[in-house]
Amino acid sequence: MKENKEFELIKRFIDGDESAFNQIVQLYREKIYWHARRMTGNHMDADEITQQVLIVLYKKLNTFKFNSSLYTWIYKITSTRSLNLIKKNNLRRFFSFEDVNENETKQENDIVKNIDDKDKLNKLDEILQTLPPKQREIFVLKNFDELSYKEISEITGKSIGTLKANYFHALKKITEKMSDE
Amino acid sequence: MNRELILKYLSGLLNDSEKIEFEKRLESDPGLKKEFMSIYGKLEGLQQFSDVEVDQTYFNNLQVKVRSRMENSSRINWVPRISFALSLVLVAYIFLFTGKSNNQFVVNLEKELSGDSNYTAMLDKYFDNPVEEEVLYLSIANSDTKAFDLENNEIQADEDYLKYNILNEINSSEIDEYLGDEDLSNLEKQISGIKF
Repeated sequence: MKENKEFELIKRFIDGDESAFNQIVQLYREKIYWHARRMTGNHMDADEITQQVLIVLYKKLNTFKFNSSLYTWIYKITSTRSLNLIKKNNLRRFFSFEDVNENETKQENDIVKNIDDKDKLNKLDEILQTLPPKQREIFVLKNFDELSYKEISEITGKSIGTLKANYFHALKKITEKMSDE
Repeated sequence: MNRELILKYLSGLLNDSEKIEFEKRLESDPGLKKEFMSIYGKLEGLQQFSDVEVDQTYFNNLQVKVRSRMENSSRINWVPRISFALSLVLVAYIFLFTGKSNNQFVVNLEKELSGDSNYTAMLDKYFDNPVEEEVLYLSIANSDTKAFDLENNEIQADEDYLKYNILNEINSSEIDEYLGDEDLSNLEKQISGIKF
């Protein structure tokens, strides 16, 4: 049912109906943002990734082949962009010794205003950052985006067995980290 | 031990029979159940960390932001980019062209040392002009170590020949008529000791 609706929206957009694209954006913008935010741990990077994904979506939606569902395709773009940005940031940090206030700058104009909520997100970020990026990707897709191993396999290109093993190790690290606190 | 088993269950790493056995134990073993609930609770708690109030205007303005970004990127001035690309091509061309001419000469020099008579005759004709010869050798010495080494070997080989020729010239001249045996012997020793 959901896929039929998406199919119809894509067809309308390809035929030139811009309002169909707006509807697609409304369906996915928050999912994209939160996936990126959990991966990168800050608003600025999540905002950048969300904008990039929407631009790619606008430009490439006409090449969508309907071999997979739209949300798998969108998650695939979001996930790849997030991993690339993390890699880029790590390299930049390594070579330029960015100052310690970097994280504060990246939280400017944050969409979360309440201090308690900010604390909750900081805590979540601290826990998620204990995982290496690719393990974090699987954990976030399974635990927060609530996707099945089959769907995650389509997104990441990894076998279900590998995903289960990765998720097991991620769970182990996260529960250990939470027990320590 | 229990913790490992619980995590395997939650990750889907247990096979069907192990899964049934685990679920049976979960019903009958209070210790296992307590530990399971603790881990499960932690994971649920983690999900609640994301349950926050957000400023919805960000999402409402997102499309406007993206559209203006797309419009700006389509208005990119291509002139500096094209100029930059052309300069790169030019630098690459000069670099490749210079490299090729040096390599060619190294090969020629090896050919020269191998004693190919046709080739030597052609070089002799070319080297009739001493200025051109010097410029050519200097360019080799400055630009290519291999060529420089070959040239050095050539000079080294000629050094003894040169000293021999000088001594011969002294012997054939009438200089020995003006010098005593001892002086002549000293002069020969000095010439032999000269480093070219």
